[in-house]
Amino acid sequence: MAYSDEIAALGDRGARQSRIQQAERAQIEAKRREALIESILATVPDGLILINERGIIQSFSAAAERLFGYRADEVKGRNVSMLMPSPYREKHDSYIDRYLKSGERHIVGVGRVVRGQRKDGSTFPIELSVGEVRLDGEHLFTGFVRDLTERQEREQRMHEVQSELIHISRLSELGQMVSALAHEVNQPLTAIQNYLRAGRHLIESGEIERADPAFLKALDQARRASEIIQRLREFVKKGEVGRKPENLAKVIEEAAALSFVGLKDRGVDIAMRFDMETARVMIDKVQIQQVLLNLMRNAIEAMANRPQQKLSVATERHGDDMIAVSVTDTGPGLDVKVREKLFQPFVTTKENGLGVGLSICRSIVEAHGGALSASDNPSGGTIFRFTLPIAWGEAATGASSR
Amino acid sequence: MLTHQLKDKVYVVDDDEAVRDSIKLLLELHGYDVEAFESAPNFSHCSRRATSGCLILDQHMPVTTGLDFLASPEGRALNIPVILITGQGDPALTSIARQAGAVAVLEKPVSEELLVAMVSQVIGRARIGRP
Repeated sequence: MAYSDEIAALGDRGARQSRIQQAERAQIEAKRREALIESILATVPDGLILINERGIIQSFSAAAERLFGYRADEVKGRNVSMLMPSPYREKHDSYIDRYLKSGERHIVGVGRVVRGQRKDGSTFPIELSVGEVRLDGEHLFTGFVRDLTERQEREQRMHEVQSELIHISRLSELGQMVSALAHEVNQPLTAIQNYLRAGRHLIESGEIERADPAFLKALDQARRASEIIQRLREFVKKGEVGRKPENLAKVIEEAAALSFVGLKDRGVDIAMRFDMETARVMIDKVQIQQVLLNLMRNAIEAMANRPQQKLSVATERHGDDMIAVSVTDTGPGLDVKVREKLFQPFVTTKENGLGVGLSICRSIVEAHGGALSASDNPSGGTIFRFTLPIAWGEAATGASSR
Repeated sequence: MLTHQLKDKVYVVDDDEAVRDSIKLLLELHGYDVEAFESAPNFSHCSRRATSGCLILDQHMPVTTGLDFLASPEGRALNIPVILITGQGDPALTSIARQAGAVAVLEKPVSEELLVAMVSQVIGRARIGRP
């Protein structure tokens, strides 16, 4: 080998070595940067998830681990759809395809509130912001996930307070209506009393012919009074438009799912038993779920710090036309004094309660033609029981028709 | 049944026809000469010649209420006792009505015994008080 060749070979080796050293330095630098980013991300309360354009998870931050209950190594390399409930789980790949093809932004750069699914199968509300990155021709998406559970609980509470306030204003409206009604009914009652008294005097003094018109006028006034009552009934009936046949078991299951919001991990056993599983009831679903929610949350709160915490919700046939729903707890039971005033508005045993919950429940149930009552649980605690009208007709299944 | 040599006069002002008519009938059977009006303005046309007897006045009437009438020039010029009848029990109304010149406030529905006793009492008292 010529000297010059030797030099050249040495030079080659040196260049190769310095290239290797450069690459190593770059790698160290990249690792350092990655560690820095990871340590920053670990302190951010929002979870960060990085996916590629096929939806495969590339990176899963420590906060994301906390939110979803998975370790990063359990999810890396798997489709991100595993973190969402149906029907989004099945559709997520098509969402990415649609975006890549059309460029239409439904979520990228927009952000929206969706539901995430934890490892244990439970779901929770999240605010998701998605960004995109192009790296060496590879298309990546970053997802920032913020847990909204607390915010939703606050909103739920706001909603409850609002509906309580609406009820209070209805109560005062009702008070005004009752007083106006009392005045209106008083008129015919006054006249009836006078005519009947006059009629009696006339009969006593033998003036039968003069008595008869007085009695007829009294009858007219009785009719007038009943017409006033009839008008009131029609007014109340206007509230019935929102009612339709609903599957009671489903209505109860949904309400039960909501009843634990804000009352986490108290170790309450919940048992449900449905006598007529497929029976439908004629109800305003939102109102009846409000009743169920109220009774179940009361029950859960009553059982706090009790050794046995069992909440049972059951349905059973009640007479020909009704189904009874019972909500049973194993709490301390009701004090005699409390029970007397249980359904009166503004009576409460709770420190920050308005005391209108049960009075709302009772007026809702009664407006549906049912009744709400409380009794002792023979094995300790309280049973709240209310009845609802069965929805007969073509829509009804599993129930005998009349 | 009471009979009077010269019948005492009772004026009734109530916008409700059945109430007005039935009070008239009942008091007539108790021997009173009853004249009924459907509004306070209607009554005020003849209130000047009302020199004896008493007035049964409904409070809750459209346009002119019982208290409105008592506060009007015709009402203040009235020289017979006034019994105010109200459908809505309101304690404040009683003292306001008394200040306005009503001798009594009765709540509907008024019993026959109370109505007749009150009418005979206020007419008797007015008669004694007169020179």
